[in-house]
Amino acid sequence: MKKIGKGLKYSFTIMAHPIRGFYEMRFENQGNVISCLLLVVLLILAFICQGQYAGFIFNDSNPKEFNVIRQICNVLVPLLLWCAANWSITVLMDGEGRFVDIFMATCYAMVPYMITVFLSVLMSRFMTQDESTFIGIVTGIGLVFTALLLFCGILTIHQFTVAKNIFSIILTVAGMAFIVFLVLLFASIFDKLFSYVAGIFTEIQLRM
Amino acid sequence: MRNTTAFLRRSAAAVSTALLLGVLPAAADSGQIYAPELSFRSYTYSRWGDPIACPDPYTVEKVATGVDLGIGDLKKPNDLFASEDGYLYIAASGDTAADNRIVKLDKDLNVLEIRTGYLGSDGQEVAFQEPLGVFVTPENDIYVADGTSKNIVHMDSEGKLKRLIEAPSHEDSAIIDEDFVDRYRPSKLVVDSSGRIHVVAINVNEGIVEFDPDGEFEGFLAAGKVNANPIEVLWKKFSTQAQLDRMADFVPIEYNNISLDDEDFLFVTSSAIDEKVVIAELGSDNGSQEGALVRRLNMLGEDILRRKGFGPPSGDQEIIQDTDNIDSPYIGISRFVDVANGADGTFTVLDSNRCRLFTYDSEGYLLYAFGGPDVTAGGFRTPGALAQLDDCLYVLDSNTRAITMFRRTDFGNLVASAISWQESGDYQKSAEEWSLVLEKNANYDMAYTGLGKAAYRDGEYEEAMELFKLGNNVDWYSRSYKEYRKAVVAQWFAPVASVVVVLAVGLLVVMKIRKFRRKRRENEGRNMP
Repeated sequence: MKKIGKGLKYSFTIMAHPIRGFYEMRFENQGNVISCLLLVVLLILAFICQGQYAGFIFNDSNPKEFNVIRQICNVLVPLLLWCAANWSITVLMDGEGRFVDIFMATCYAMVPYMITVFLSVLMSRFMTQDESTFIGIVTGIGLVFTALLLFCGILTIHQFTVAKNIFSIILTVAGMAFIVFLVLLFASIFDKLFSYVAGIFTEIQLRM
Repeated sequence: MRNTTAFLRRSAAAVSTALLLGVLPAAADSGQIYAPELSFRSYTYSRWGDPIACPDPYTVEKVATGVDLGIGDLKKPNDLFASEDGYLYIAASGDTAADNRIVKLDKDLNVLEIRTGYLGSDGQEVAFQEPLGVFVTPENDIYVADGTSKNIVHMDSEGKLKRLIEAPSHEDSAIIDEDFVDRYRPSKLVVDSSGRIHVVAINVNEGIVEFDPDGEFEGFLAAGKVNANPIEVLWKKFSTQAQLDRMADFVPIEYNNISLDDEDFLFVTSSAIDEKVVIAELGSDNGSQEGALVRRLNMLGEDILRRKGFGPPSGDQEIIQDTDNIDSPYIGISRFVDVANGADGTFTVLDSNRCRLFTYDSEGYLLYAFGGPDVTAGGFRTPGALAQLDDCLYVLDSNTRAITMFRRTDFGNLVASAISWQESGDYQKSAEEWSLVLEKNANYDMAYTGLGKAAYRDGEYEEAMELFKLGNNVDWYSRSYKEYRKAVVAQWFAPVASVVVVLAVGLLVVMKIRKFRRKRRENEGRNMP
């Protein structure tokens, strides 16, 4: 319990001193995976709150189509894709980060965005349509902060130079697209295979 | 009032079950399939674009072909016009001279007059060649758009020619192409209160052809703007000639119909807009309006139609596409062919693709969609023209060559009178009507919004918020929330502020006292030895 609390608190250290924070996370055993998993859960919770509890004026999610499982996938799938793609790329580029480090850095980087999403849900309950810019500004700040943290995090854990880091991030995004492509390809091939086997099965069944 | 609406909402489910279980068998026994106001073909759209069943706003009263009217088959019924003094005019054409005629009918479809031509200045009758459109001014002057002869015939109510307005040519104005006269075929027209003539012509995509009150060509109105997309321009720069030839050219809009509203603004429809553009804009609340199927134009040709509703006023929101493999009588988006203006800024558009009618209010909210293809009596095949006289709508079908007369039902009348009270500013009366509407249709968002507006006027902002939430009206909810918040802040500001001030002062005093004591103690300590 104490460990989790310490890990969560560490996200504030990272926000205040990103480079040092991520360095100590990678090389001096600061932060832990369990607290990172908790951060992911909190992020999912933030999006669910946004769909369910944002004020009427700012909430145009259709309650008929609201689906918690989809919300969970919306967070988990891109997160894991990012980590997997980044790990695959950086291993080839002599990055020093392990998979765990990439995952933890990404989770810690998400904290500002998560906080501003919660904040925007709260704000949306007290604001009118004219004041929607404020909410936009708040979530915008969170998003930029998160992007910067993610950049610093990847840079620090792999001990890359800035140019190499930008290159690796571009490759990571391409890698994510490639993984999605492969998954879809396999899904369609297996779908065809299964329907073929099922077709043969019914054929035999009918002729017996 | 809040109790009533809550009750209505709760009972909505119960009512619909009762209708399904109770009314249907009873109606089937009496040989009628549906209760008169429930054909299950009328609907509105929810905030998220789901169709929601709605009682019928109009019912079919009469369907009559030319033969039924006793005037022989209308070979090609082209246009239908409702004059201000309550008469209907049909413009029909055909192969023989007797088929080219303007028929005047009264409200109940009794034929009053048939004109196959006009009396020239020398007293000779000249036959129409192809009457495609007709317009009658409040002074009972008749204007006929004669397609083949390319003339606009202006005659008095007796049929005596007042003037002929010929096709404008290259000599009249430099903005007219040389081949303009060859392709120009005037088809629909309106004359506004200042006497200016606005003509929609076939094969003309420069915009609406405008003539001044003297019949002189004035210019084109509302030509489609060419909005160059920077990426597209760049792409075209790098394309070869062969690729450029294959690319879709930008085709300006060709309008197909025109109508004049109470305030002298033009309503125009177009059915030649790219389907992709329209579908892209269906998803957005108020897009660029490049894909607007119906527009309201001011004298500068700017589109000033208000589009506040759930989605733009482009007819049906779910689109069945070719690739969907669904057996459907219609494929693709709504195609509007005519528009009719009703009271209080409402307007009805006729969709020839889906054979439906859509009525919108002055803010662009869909009031109801009704009608449908030819599966039951009163359905259409290829509806071509639409006109409205008070509480009746008339649709001319160019395939069945029949005129269909719709009369507004109780539900439709309630909605109309509620809107009318609302427009005239009597919110109390309109609230009464809207609650009656809710008794007939508890899922009617417009009614909750109407009640909400009444509550807002009365200063009952909390209740208004509740109602606007039921009506899914974000805009008005935001307005009433602003007022509500103002009241709450005003109510609590004084007590909260005074408590804060008292606490702050108290804290300050306590700190001062402590400091003073500490100082004294230190002084005492220093003095001790």
